[in-house]
Amino acid sequence: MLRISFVLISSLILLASCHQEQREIGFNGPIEVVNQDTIPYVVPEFSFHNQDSVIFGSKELAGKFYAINFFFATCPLQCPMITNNLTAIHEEFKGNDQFQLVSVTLDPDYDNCKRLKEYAEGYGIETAYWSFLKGTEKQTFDLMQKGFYQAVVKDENIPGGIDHSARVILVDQKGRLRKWYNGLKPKELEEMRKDVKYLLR
Amino acid sequence: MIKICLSLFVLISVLSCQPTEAASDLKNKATYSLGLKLYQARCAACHGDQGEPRAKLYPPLKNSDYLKNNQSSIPCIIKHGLEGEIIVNGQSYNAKMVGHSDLSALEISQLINYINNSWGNDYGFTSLEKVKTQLENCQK
Repeated sequence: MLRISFVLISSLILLASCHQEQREIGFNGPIEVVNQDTIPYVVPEFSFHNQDSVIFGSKELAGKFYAINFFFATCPLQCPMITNNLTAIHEEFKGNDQFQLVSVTLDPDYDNCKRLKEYAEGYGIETAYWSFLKGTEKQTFDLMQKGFYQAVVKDENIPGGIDHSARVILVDQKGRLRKWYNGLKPKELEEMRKDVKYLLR
Repeated sequence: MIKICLSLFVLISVLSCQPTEAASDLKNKATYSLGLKLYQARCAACHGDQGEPRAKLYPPLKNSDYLKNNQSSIPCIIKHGLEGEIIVNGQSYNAKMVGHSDLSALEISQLINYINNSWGNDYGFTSLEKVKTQLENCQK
């Protein structure tokens, strides 16, 4: 009797420890329904240059999960906080080839590749796992507004001159827009960390 | 009995005489706490909550020789930013700082009073009048 109880209790404990927390991540962006099938939104392709002046974009990110945000190196208000917050994500996932952080500059006139590299080095970032990209201003604004549905507007009345969304957007290995998180809120990025961990399991 | 009461009265009067804070000290404390709020909103993200930045891209404000020795330039730096290499405590910094042109002279004086007197810094208190004059002479 004792033996049976022991086996039963051990099995229950084993089952309980094997249980993985299910996370509902879903899809974001405009959803299409075709013949009753829901087709998630796939972000448009983009191709920019990274901090090493090497071409980097959708092609290099294919098959990987990535989290993308838009910033600029001289941004005095939001971006330093967002970059600070993202360093925690970077610390967790650097070394994992299935996940990338991507930050695209909204001020390519000033943020040339050399400055992007200095920015990354200044934060102690390993650019193999966190790329800093620049395209033309038009390409970048179009991608942000029409590709990722995030707000951005030039406003000379605010320090830095560009008012932009603080969101970090998660894209999956098929280029589908999954979820976005407020990069200024550590709690939301903590949710992102858990979501990424779950997706990479 | 009257003598005792009188003596007691004198004693109590003397003991209740607290040294009053100088009006200037109170004013400085007021600007300091207003400066703290401004610092947290505008400066801490780059220069650090305690004047020591997280990224080595940005110079420290804590125990900064540059801050100590360039007091008259600080209002213009806050208002209009700074570009070009500077040396702070023997380290070179070259990242561009954009200005906070929307801050008023009053806000800038509050910010400076906070920075000048935090984290062990002992660089004195500025005044609104001084900051106004310095801002009029900024090289843009």
